[in-house]
Amino acid sequence: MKKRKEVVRFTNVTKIFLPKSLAILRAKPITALDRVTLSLYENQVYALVGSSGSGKSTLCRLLLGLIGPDGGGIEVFGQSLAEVLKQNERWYRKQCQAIFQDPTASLSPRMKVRELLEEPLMLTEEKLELREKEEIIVAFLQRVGLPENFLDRYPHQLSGGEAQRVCIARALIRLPKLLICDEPTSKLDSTREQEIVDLILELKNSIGLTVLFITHKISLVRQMADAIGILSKGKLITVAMKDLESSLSSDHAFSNLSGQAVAC
Amino acid sequence: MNSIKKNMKLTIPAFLLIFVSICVIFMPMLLPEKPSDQSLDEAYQSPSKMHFFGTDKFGRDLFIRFLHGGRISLSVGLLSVLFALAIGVPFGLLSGYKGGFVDTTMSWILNLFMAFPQFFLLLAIVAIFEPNSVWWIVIVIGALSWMDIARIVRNETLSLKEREFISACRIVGLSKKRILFRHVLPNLAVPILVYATLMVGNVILIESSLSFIGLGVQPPTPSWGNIINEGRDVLLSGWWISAFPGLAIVATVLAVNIFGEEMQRMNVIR
Amino acid sequence: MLNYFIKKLLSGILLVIGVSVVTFYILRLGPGNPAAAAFDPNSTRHDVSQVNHLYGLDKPLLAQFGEWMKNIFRGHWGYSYASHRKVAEIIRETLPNTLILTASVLFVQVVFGTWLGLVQVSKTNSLFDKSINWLTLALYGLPVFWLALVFILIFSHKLGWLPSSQIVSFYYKDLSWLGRIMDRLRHLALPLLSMSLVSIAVMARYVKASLKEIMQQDFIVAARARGLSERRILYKHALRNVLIPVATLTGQYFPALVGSSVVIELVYSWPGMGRLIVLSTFARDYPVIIACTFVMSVFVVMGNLFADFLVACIDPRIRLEA
Repeated sequence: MKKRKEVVRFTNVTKIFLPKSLAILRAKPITALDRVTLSLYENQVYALVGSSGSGKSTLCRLLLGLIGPDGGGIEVFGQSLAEVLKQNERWYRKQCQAIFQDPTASLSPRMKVRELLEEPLMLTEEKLELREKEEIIVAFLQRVGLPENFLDRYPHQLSGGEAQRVCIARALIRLPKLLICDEPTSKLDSTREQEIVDLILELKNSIGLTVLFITHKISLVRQMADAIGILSKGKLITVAMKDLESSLSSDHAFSNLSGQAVAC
Repeated sequence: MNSIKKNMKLTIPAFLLIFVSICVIFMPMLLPEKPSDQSLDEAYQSPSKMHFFGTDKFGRDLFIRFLHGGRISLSVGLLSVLFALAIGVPFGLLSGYKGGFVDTTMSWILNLFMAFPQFFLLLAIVAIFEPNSVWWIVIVIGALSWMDIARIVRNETLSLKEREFISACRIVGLSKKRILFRHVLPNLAVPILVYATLMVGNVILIESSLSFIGLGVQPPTPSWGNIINEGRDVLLSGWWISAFPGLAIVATVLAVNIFGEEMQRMNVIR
Repeated sequence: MLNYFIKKLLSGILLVIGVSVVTFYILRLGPGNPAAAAFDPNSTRHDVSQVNHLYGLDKPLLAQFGEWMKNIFRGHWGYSYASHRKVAEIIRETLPNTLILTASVLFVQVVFGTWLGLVQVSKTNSLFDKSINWLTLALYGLPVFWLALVFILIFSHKLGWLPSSQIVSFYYKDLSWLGRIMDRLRHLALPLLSMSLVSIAVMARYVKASLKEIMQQDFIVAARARGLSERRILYKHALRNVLIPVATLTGQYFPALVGSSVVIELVYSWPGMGRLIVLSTFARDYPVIIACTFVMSVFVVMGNLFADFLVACIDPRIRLEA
């Protein structure tokens, strides 16, 4: 197999949180990520697994540039993330998008779906006509499987699954290269979960996305992942898919994997 | 919408406030007398068909004075609150949104202004700057009432900032300005409106206290507070002078407070 | 806990310094020269400059400020323009009267306000609850000075039960010690009543709202599930938790309370700080005005500090964090 292009690379990334209070002297700092090294290749689905508090979300927020690392380096598309954010944040925001756990909470409560989808389009280089914008919005809405009349709804009038579809449409409307999914199905029931996962996979193939999929469900991992990383107490190990398949044969696949992570 | 119509705690105060506002705005236009018209031979008359609210020591018709005074009191209340909002909202927004060192400094300034008993500071400023027009009173009261609203806006902004949709906006790549004005501010509208409503009642009380002392709106310009002051020395023989403006203040402030509280309750439920 | 105290104390001290800076600038930024204002308009420029020199007004602003800071903390507050007495002396005479009034109002407010709120919650939706609810709502919007006038009219003028002005009667010196106490209490009654009614209403509404919130929390539901009586739940579990918001509100409401003492002292001729600042404002007696504002602000800072300490003592989450 040909070696594919690297989209994201973490080298020895460390993130430490200091508890916010006067009592800095007494409280111990929490190491959320401990020398994490990982690589994401083009057109790959990388699944990141781990129990809650293992640092999954921290990794995700680092990659999105919401927080900075305390050690190590993050590279995206061959450039340093810190540099990219400083010099060309707009460009990076076009390349890298995200969807989150709680879809309803990640939509501005006082904005209609139309306005929510229109906002990313205002950031495009070339100025779009009103009609063009409307066309793109409608096209994307249909692509995520929602009818056109949803455009005039407010977030609280959507179900969880519908809201997540809107989030996906908003994330993909500018055709990014990298999509980060932070447990996008954890608040949905299993039927909706399957629909959303299928949608993401379908869009991945048609747009050509690289996906970082954070979850704690092993069934999803088996279904979609090309590579898998297991986070445990801030440490990461990457497992090849063939090893995963062999260890999944046992009933307690997940605890086995976690145990392995601790052992490393 | 239907639930709002059925809610008596919103409709009754709202109608009362509209009624009072219409009275004080339009009635003086229909009645030819001026609030300063004196007729000394009609001094200290109790309420009658000729003078609904009686007359004062100069024989001025107190109903006319009451209407004109209401105009002043209500507009001072409203304008001061607008002025306070104009300072408090940007202050709180900036402090909460910027966070960090900016927030620490601005919060300290806020605490400093809140350490002064408002009324004492008000008197000190009145004494030193000698504000002699109604506009000055509006500015001084407004400039000393912005702290609470700033604190509320700051805290709300801080908690909004932690909400997921704000992070989502940043990831979409929206500018800070757009996030602030299109995503944070609209979500602050209801708490600001509720607090501003409650504040109108409070400011009407402050203005009337100040005018009652004799340091607010200066006679012969009437305000509900200074009419009460004029009746203070003749409580026994001329009870009607202080009674009607006092009742008017009670009714207005009560209506404003019920309205504001009910809005707040509905907002919490929603 | 010690950390918490030190932090609060430091911020309190910082606030007092800030307060003195603000008062200094208000005084200096005002139009007109504070020294010139003390004298008749016919004084020559030479006179004014001499007075300026005497008061140190010709020095640079920063030096003046340093001087002023040194003097305030030493208690040298200058002389009143109106009575030419020492400002510190005037404050020393009036401050205790204001303290007596506000302390009694605070006491009444906390006790009756909490009690009313408790009873309302224990009898939710009863006639008592509803009528108290309306009463407190009405009191909430009442102009304190107007209420004071109504009380004077009823209790003093019509019924003749209670005196309407001053702190003691003119024959106070001839009374026995018991009579003296009674005389003082009789004079305190009306100011206390008219000032505390509104503050009780504020407190009662607040306590009721916080209690209702507490009563919906899981530990109360759990207590109900264990079969404890409503009474025990309310007084043993809920009351403890409501004391924290009570202490917080008392601290927050303190400035407003001090503010409302101004009109009350004026209406009842109560010789306190509030009345003093109003009279000084009329007389344009700047040193006294500034001293009053400064002293009362320091009191507010101290009051808030006290409330914080109280909260710390009540709240085990702060108390045991060590």
